[in-house]
Amino acid sequence: MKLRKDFIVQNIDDTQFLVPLGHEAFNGIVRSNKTAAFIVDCLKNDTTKDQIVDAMCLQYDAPRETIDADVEEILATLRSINALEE
Amino acid sequence: MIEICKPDAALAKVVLPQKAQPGISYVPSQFVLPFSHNEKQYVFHVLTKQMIEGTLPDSAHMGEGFDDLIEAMFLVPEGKDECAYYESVAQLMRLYGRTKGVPTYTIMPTLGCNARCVYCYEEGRKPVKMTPEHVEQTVRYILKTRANKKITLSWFGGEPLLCPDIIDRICDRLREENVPFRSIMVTNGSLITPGIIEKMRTRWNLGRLQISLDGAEPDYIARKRYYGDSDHYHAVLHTIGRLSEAGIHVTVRVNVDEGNWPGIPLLLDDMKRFVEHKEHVTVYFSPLMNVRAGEGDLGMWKKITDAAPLVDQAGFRTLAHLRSFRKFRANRCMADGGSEVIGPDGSLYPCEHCPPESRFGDIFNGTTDEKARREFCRTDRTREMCRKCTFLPDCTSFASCPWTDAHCKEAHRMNSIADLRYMLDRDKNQREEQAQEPDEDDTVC
Repeated sequence: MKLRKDFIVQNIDDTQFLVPLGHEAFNGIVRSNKTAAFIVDCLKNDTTKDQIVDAMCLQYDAPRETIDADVEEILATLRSINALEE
Repeated sequence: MIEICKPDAALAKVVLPQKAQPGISYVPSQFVLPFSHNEKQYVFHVLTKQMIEGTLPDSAHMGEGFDDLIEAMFLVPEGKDECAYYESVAQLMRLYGRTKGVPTYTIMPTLGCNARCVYCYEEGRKPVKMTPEHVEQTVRYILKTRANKKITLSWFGGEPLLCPDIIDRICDRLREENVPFRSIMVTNGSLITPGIIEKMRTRWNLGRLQISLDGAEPDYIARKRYYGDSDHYHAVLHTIGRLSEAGIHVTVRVNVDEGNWPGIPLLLDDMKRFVEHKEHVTVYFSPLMNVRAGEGDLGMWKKITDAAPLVDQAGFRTLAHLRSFRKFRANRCMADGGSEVIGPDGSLYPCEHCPPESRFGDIFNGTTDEKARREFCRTDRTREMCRKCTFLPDCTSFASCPWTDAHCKEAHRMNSIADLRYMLDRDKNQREEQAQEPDEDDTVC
């Protein structure tokens, strides 16, 4: 899976935003927290949920189950606004 | 902090409150514009559009009583690259506002004109007119590339009303194809008849147009130089009256320099006599291009700023009526807003000035030189001289714009402060009027 081409990632200072380009289903702006920003960065290239969890486990000192749940939640949010190409 | 105007709501989604940090020295943002009015001090933030009453300290630290000013970005960390910050905010807002497809087409049915304005930047160009084949292909091109919403057709020239048949054909075809559209137009107004006004309303969906007037009658004649030495001055004034009566909003652009400036009061007097529905007419003065690029521009801008009350007193709307200081504008002109200009030969440009280097294709082959368009419209390279400017968020932030002002910063300062003062007075008057109106509950029947 990866981020759809019509979603653009833009950083302002230290904050990441996800902007839809003329998207019919969603016309808001997504402001990412640090975890979401990390996941969105991973999704700039084709990847899988497990690969994202692996990358996060290397970055963050937290139990794998917790990270897995966080990733699942954020992927679900991205799916709900049709931001993922799967 | 006494807030007079709230920050722009859409921008507030991305311009997050700046949290005060210990050990950092905060100084006034480059985007703040302090000014005084009626013995009070105000500070306007040109990026966020927030306005407060009061003044800013030269520097401050967290906990010194200025944390609210830090949060609202009136004070920023010393040394912050505010141009880079503005660029990323503007980029995001442009992306956010972008639609799929083209929202606005500026169509030039002809480069021909019945006037020979002394200042015309199209002088010397061949008076090419769209052929029937180009007209049909223009419709096909619009159908193929348009945004999936109401589109805008901006009729431009030359004088577009030399070719009402072309406007008819394109509008009729779009209507047949169920394309929602509205029209606007830039014209000298000399060819507008009652029949054309009827077409504007019923066939072209035209709700607004701009007519250029170049001063009182003697200046108008000398500068417009209509073929056949015709004097359309009174006819155009009469037309403005009829248009406004028909509910079509007219913006009168008065191109000025020192030569025609003395005649402006006379022009306004004449307009007053001819136009009854003044609420549908906006009048603004624009220094001619050579004045704007010359050393004398500031003096001209000063005269223009001082003349705003004359327009107001004559009953017409001024630009300050229209200009919203409460909204951040992501796009400053057609070139950075995704609009396209269709020339009479079918060429596509991003700007109505049609700089040859910006031609990016034609209506038959579509976009053939995306690089030319992208290069012209690039917004990620603010001019070096503009990087520290207070008014960067209110200006064209791309380097290819053909407009230049010799003293743009001072001119912006003068115009902005005048308009902000106007806005303060207007808001105060409205508040007073509302206070005087009796509540419905108090009304004795």
